[in-house]
Amino acid sequence: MIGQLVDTVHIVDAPENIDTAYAAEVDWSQGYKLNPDSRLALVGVGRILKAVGNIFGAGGAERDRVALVLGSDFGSLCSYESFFNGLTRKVAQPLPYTHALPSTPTAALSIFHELHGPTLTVSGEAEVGVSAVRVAQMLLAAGRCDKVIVGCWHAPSATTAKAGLADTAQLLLLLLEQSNGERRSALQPGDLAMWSGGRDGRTCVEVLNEWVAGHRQQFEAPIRMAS
Amino acid sequence: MSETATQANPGLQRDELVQWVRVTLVQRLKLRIKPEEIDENITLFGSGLKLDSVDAFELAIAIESEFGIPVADDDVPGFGSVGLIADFIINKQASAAA
Amino acid sequence: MRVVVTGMGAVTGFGYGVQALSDGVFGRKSSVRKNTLFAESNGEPSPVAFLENVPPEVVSRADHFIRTAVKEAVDQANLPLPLPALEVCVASLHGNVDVWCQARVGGRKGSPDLWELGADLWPQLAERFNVTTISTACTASGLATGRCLDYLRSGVASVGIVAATEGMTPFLLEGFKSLRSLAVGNCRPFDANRDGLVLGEGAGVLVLETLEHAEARGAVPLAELAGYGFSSDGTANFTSPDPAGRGASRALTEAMRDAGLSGLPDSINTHGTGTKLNDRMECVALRRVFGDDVGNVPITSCKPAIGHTFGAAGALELVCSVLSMQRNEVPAILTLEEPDPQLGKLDFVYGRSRLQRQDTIISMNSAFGGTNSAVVLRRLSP
Repeated sequence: MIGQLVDTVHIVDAPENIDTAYAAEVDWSQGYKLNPDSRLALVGVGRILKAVGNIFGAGGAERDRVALVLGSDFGSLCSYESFFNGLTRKVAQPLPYTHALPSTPTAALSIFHELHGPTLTVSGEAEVGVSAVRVAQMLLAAGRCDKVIVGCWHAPSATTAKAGLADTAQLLLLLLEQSNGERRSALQPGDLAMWSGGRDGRTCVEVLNEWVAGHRQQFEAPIRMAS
Repeated sequence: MSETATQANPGLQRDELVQWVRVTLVQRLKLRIKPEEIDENITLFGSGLKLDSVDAFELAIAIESEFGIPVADDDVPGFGSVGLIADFIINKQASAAA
Repeated sequence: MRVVVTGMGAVTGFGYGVQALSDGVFGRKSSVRKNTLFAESNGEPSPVAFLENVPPEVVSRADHFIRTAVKEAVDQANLPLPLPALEVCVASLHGNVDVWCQARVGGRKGSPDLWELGADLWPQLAERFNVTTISTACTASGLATGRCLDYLRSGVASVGIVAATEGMTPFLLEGFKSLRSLAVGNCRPFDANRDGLVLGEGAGVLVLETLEHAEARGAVPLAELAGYGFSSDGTANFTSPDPAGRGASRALTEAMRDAGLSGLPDSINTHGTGTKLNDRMECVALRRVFGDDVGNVPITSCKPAIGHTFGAAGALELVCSVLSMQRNEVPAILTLEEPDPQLGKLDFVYGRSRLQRQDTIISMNSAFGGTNSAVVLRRLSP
């Protein structure tokens, strides 16, 4: 499969512990307004950078070549709920609305880390994490980036509770890199991540985690797209 | 501060309004400081607390729903400090009463 | 590997279909009018580009629009069904948020799910398919187009569908009202007196194929999807773009490199939302990339005609660009009367449309959170 799997970060914790971790690990005084999804993403990316070094911190051209692809099935729902609750009281609050987008965590990361390369948000159902990995692989294969932080998150909300999903905050991130490898003129479907299964009460992170466990070995033979 | 309290006491004392603004800023904008730590004269936007336009609109909505005072786009640049916002509310209430 | 557009579908405030869109945009009309879809929290009904007469049994507008537009595009492309493989890239800002809101009020789980957009369409079209849903705010469909282009170039499929959709909901409208970003009347891109956005709804769908696949089955391509670029501003604010336009410049530069375009395009379809900040940023970005020569390139924006359709904007504006290429006509920016002198001397098309052959068109979008996309369309035959 496309990409060299360099490292992963996996978080499963009570939401209040994520807030504590955020206060301790993410030094952003202006980040106080962020929703739980964004705080979780900042903690997670911070940890992967701590593990592998600051891949965003390099000089201009290199920074442009790092991509970020995050996915969620219930992204930023706390903000949606907060804004909607205001609407039912006939008060439309701008702050929750600004964050009522699945793309808010990637936006927060983009701002905090001053990212210039491709930053994508993928939405979907339980498969969304694997979908995000597929997108990341295509970015590498097409030469749109050299490295990509990719994964998915689960931030508990009233909506996820109603769906019967875990009440822990969860995140799984992979760092994939372009690897020097044999050039091929065309990709086969098997070169990209695939998953077709039922949710079975799992969060998207639990699904991605299971997929990574089963496919980790397949990352070792990366292939680069011919131009 | 409840809606009932402000409706019953339309001419709230300035220091009570200043406190309302401080508490509202902390609660609505999720600031990680205590209300009493916000000096009445500290700059809110750009520098100082470094709030932005979305924060300004959030504050405008809070004022509108708490006091029933419409906040126009032109009023927002005048929200330079807690003190200035309190004065804005007092002036609007006075003109409404007049 | 060259990729071409072989089918298009659209739903806009002008109604169902690409023809309605074409008649509206090139007939110098606007579909923006006073909102009669739902009561608003305060004030006068906002100007909105919306569809009337959506069937009452429709529970989610975004899901409904994507279905009609996909059918139109697939019919036009006359694809040999079922396809062996299909790459689908869906785009939307809020998905089926109207269903989600109704479920919250009603207390039951809504259907379809928030991100189930036209989900049962794809198995009818192909034996093997993959669906990616992009939700990067207003650049979602520009980005979805780019992803689809890369997938087709890579060989994982010979046919792809870009399907972008957005519904007009109280959630969307009240949200932008709370941000005080709406114009009083219609949006006025690049005008000295511009005062904000006007919201729209609809769906834009493009059927993409490798040129090889299209030629083998005798399909007539509408245009070539020559290249795309995407970038982030990486700047300090969720809702404002980088005033120096560096992110948009990077997207433009990457798109041109990807397309092998070294000179000026023949026209530019900007994001052109009518806000002070966006419009200025785009002009700065254009000058960064093209220098003063950009003053010779006709510039347009479709938003006064169809509103800002958010997740569907990039795709719908690409449909308009293909139509521009087919008609040899750059549509006028409908509401522009007095170009803002602070934007410098640029060739905004206003007053009347510009009859001009275009062999390359660039379509640009930018979004909250600082993402930027640019897509290059190229005429296929001389």
